[in-house]
Amino acid sequence: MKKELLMASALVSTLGVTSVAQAVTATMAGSMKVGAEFESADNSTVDSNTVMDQSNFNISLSETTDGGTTISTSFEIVDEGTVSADDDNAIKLTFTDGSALELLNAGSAAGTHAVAVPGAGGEQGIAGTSTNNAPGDLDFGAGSTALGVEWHSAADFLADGLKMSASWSTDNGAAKGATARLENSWGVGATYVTTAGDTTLTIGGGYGSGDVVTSGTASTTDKAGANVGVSAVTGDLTVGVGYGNGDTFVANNAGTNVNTQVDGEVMKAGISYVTGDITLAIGVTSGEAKDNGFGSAGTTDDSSDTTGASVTYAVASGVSAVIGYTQVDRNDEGASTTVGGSAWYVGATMSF
Amino acid sequence: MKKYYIFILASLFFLFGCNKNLSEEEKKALWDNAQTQGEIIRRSGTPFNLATDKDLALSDAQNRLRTGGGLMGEKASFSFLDQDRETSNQTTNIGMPINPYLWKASLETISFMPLSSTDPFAGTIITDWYTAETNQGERCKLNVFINGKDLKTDNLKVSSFCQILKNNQWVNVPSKTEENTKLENIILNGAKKLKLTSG
Repeated sequence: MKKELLMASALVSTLGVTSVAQAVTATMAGSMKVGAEFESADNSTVDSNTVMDQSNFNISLSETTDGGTTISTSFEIVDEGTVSADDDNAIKLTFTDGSALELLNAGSAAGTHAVAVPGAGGEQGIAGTSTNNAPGDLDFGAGSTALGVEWHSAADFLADGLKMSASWSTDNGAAKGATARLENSWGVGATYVTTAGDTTLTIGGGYGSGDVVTSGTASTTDKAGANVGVSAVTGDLTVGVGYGNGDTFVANNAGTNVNTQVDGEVMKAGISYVTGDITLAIGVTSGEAKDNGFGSAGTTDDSSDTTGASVTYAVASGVSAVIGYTQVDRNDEGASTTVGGSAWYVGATMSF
Repeated sequence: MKKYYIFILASLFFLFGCNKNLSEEEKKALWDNAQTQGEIIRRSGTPFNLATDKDLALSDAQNRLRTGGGLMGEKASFSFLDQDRETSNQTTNIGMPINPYLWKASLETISFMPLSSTDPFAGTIITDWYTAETNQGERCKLNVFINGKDLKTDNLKVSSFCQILKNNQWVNVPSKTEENTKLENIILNGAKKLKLTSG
């Protein structure tokens, strides 16, 4: 039996009967960040100093069937200061050709393929007002619910250097409430990698869309957005730029029971350079948005412009030390606000 | 609309024209430098997930890539359920510089093929040419290498060599990486089962 199957396709078609092995491999991993942040907010006469402790612990389970498909999932315990949570990740099936399927808690394909633009490391930042809805991430228009799937192609899908993903999610069937929520989303994304001389170019992007529902006044737009970015790696130098545009929403904005629709765009650019164990990074993010309560579009701009720089030192395997600085300028509803400022951070990150 | 079509054509031309005739190594090098969020997460070995906590996942991934991995190695793979089994594993390892489960599973998996040579101390199994009744125009042989004592993917390497009969002469055909990987997975699963049943 074995030999017929073995030689059916050169050497292997399917050797052995597909069955699930009898035990899973369980691994644990995590990360810890410890550091001090120093903030000089424009709206405060007093600078603040804060100790940042962020601990995250992950347990992963995986098994490979006789057919070669790897089944894996994980959950994590998050303790990031004011945020404590336990998060469940998708059940992931990784097939022998390199393609993969994530089931539940899967995410959006538009986010998977967003280019990671270099930026300052560290945990520094200036809290903004809750009414400033200028986006900071390229994939802000993408979204998904937990009841979803995401498919990832193998590398070199259709053409060398190409990968694609698609995602879909639906709602849990609950009745619409006053607080808006996302339903029935989908997304697509693609990454193309090529070379130009000694430079590796990555072009990535995606589009995602989802329905926004509420029992109150409806939004005039869906949550939908596109992002595209280019990154170039030459030796130790990485340069990246990305752009995102779309519509999103803030449920129960600022705790006022007002659902807010947001029409935004964001541009990010950054450079990182590695010299020995030291990584230097600088990045800028410029986001703009017109926001308004559901039912009509906003007319004035929120904006948020962030410039940051950092120096990171790789101390040992899994351990790095970082000094970071960030400057933030914001406008809210077209008017300059005093919720910008500057912050810097010194700390260490450990992964295990 | 005409501009739209031109843009699509230009994009397709770019897409299918840039990466021509790349070797497997060149393709791997391409993906090792890819800079999308998903690719950075994938190759870093971080267990954290973009969909669940993007900032955490990217931050941990970049730390792992920057520092060459985690505190306990390249990947997040500190296994805590294997501790009990390590004892029996060490016992059965005595006298053999390679993993005995991988060795036994390899021999069982390819038992239908004639063996040319085996060396349990070097961890090599080399088969002779084998032709199936159902496909007499093709013959293959295998080299199996077991490199260490641990039962893990990195310690097993299968290379296959196939020839087809052309004008009464055997002609080499390119090795199929995915089929080698399938064979490795079958051996690994066999080894895992052997380990589980051995207590």
